[in-house]
Amino acid sequence: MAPHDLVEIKDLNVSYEEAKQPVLHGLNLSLSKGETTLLLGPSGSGKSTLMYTLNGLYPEELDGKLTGERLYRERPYESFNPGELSRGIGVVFQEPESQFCMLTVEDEVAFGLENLDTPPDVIAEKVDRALGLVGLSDVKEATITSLSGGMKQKLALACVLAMEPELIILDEPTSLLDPHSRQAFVETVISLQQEKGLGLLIIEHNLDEWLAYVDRCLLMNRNGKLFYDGPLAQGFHEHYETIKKEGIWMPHLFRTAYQLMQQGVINDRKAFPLELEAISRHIPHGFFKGKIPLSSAMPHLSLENVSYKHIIHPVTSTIHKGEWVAIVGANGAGKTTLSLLLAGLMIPSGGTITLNGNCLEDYRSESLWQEVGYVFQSPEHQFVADTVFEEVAFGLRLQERPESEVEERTEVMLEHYGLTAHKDRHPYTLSQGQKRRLSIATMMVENQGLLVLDEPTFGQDEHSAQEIIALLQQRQQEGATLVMVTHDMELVDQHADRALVMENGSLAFDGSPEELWEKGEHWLTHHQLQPPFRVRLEQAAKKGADTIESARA
Amino acid sequence: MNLQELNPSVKAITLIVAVFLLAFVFDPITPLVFSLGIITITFLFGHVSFKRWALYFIPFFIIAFGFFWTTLVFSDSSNHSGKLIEAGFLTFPLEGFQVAVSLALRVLGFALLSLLFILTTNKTDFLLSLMQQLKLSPKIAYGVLAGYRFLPLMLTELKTIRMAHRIRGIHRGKGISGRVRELKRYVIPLLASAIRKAERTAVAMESKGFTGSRQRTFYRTMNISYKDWVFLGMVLALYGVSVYTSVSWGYFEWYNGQL
Repeated sequence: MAPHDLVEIKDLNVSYEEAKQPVLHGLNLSLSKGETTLLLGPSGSGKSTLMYTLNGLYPEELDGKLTGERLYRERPYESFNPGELSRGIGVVFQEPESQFCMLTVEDEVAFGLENLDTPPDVIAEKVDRALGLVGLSDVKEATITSLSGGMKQKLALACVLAMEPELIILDEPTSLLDPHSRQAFVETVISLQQEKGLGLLIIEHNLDEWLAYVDRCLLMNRNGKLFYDGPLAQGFHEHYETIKKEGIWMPHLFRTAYQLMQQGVINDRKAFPLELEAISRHIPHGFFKGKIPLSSAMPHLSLENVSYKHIIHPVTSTIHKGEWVAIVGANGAGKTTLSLLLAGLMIPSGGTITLNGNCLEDYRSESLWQEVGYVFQSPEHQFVADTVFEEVAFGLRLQERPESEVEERTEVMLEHYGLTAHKDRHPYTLSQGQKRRLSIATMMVENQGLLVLDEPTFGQDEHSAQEIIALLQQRQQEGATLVMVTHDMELVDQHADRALVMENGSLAFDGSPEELWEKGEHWLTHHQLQPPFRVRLEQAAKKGADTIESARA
Repeated sequence: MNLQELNPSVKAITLIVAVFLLAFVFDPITPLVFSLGIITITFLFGHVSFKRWALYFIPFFIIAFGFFWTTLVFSDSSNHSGKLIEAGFLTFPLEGFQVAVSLALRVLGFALLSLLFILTTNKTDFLLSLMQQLKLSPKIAYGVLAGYRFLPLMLTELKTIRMAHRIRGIHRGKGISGRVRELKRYVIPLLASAIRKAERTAVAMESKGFTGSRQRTFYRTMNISYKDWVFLGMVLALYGVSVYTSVSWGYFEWYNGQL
């Protein structure tokens, strides 16, 4: 490991005013040039707090207390003028949309340089160079709103690169991107890192893409304590159980390797392997229990030439009762719009949708919402009451059920969704996972037969994601039809019975996930998709076998 | 000359001066000639699409016509000294007609000046120029720019919240009280997400070294050139011509508390 020459943090404690427990607790940490570090921890473990502390926004912006020593190149943070640290430390944030303040691409990149008092002719040069590095030179004069999600995230990176920092912090930079853009973004970041010898600190939920490039990982627990600092593959091996308990996302590769080690198929080593090839040839036949696709003959929802303005071009498909359908595709391909049409929240401009044999438009709105539920990406949008209890009871009260029944059913629901302890809290004060569970609960209390979900596991740590999936599985077993929009190919592979692939508003594929993966790498990449881990592993195994074959021959 | 290339601050000041000058006069001919001149300038030097211009102009035209009509119909007809005009079933004094036309043309004149500015000025340039020429604080200018990016986001958000509430079984409010209650329910989630978004943007700006201080350079420098003075001269000359025409046709009148 390189000598720690960039940032040094000693005995850091951060606490917020209203909280009893400190968010960060006795943290010691150093970061160096040319090193790629992953920072992992469950939601609420203080990762963002640490990021703000590292880039110097705290304690200025903090409502609370910060103690401990922070050094940048052996100089205390406090001795820097406001804004000066941004020369050394840059941040790329999670949301591509809300980190910009200008209207066009070049202005946005120039903004940071202007703040640093760079002479205009130097700015022009640096803007060109930064845009060239991330491959956005062609859209230099375009407006930011015209860019895709992946391009926006590259722009955010370009803005930071232009300022030529030595350390870049990436805060879940890929979570809103489709699988292929995600891969492309990771590759861009890594090749730049190698070219420039930057220090990288990556905060991520989705680590699969980063695995191959990471030198070091930091693991944090719920109490804001750092419990591991060292090589990634070794840390995950050493703390496997703790990591699972804390709810940190476990990369599929590690999970599989662990299972293989447990079964004695591969030798137990000190560290997990970092390449698929290392385990692919050891996978016993029938290791993955594939989901048997459920198909019933009963149509639940039928679309006939459904179109919407210029966003959705005629789509025809039938969703059967009890099916779990995944809508996938690139950012901006019309997935969410299609899901809103399915739920009757938007009226198609052409074609018809029938629900249970009746035209969707003919439902009176009250009776429609007893048949269909929709869980929005941001749960807060759906909250209408002041307490968790009232939130769940709301739908039942609207139907003027007797009070005793309302209370009984609400209690059962809260119990089931693990929210009983929080029933008197305001919905906005819940954690991310609790909010999502509450929003699903409100959409199931009336036993709606069709549930549509937009990115149900987005922004969740592994623990709460699994809870949500378990709830959905149960709902499906009870006979409900599920439609979800997602970027998560693993979710599609493990749980969906059918996948619909959207491309520029048209339906490009309609079939089982298995058939989708058979379309091949090229086709999937074209639709900004990726095969899931299981399939990649099988492909690696096949490739390995082929090489051995040819070697023998 | 191209109006898009003018310095936005000087352009704004020129047009504000014109608004004041126009406000001093109250006769039908001065604003008429002036308005025609402004339209000519807009299309000759502004490279403005007629369709877009018309789209913005129509509401102003309706308002101006409303002014004209109400002033005409409700004009004090007992206290006139001059001739009467008869148009179909309506009879009104010539004086009242003149006042109404003056008022309407004046409103149109203001509208045309605003349109000229709005349709030929880039928002970013305007704010840059306000900072560079008029020493507006960067804190405010970049705040406004970031806010401008927000508007469309908020609209999408409102649409989503509306749908999210609809699926909870809440009906669209009926009547005024229902509408108010409906709006109240949207306000909290909308504000919550707006505050969060604003916070994120602020954090992102700060982490790029923005401190709000005036100590900064500009990638794009807004300059004042001879063209800006030509434009100012042109507008003043147009005003002069308008007043001269009005005087020589015997209509000219200072604003003197009419209406």
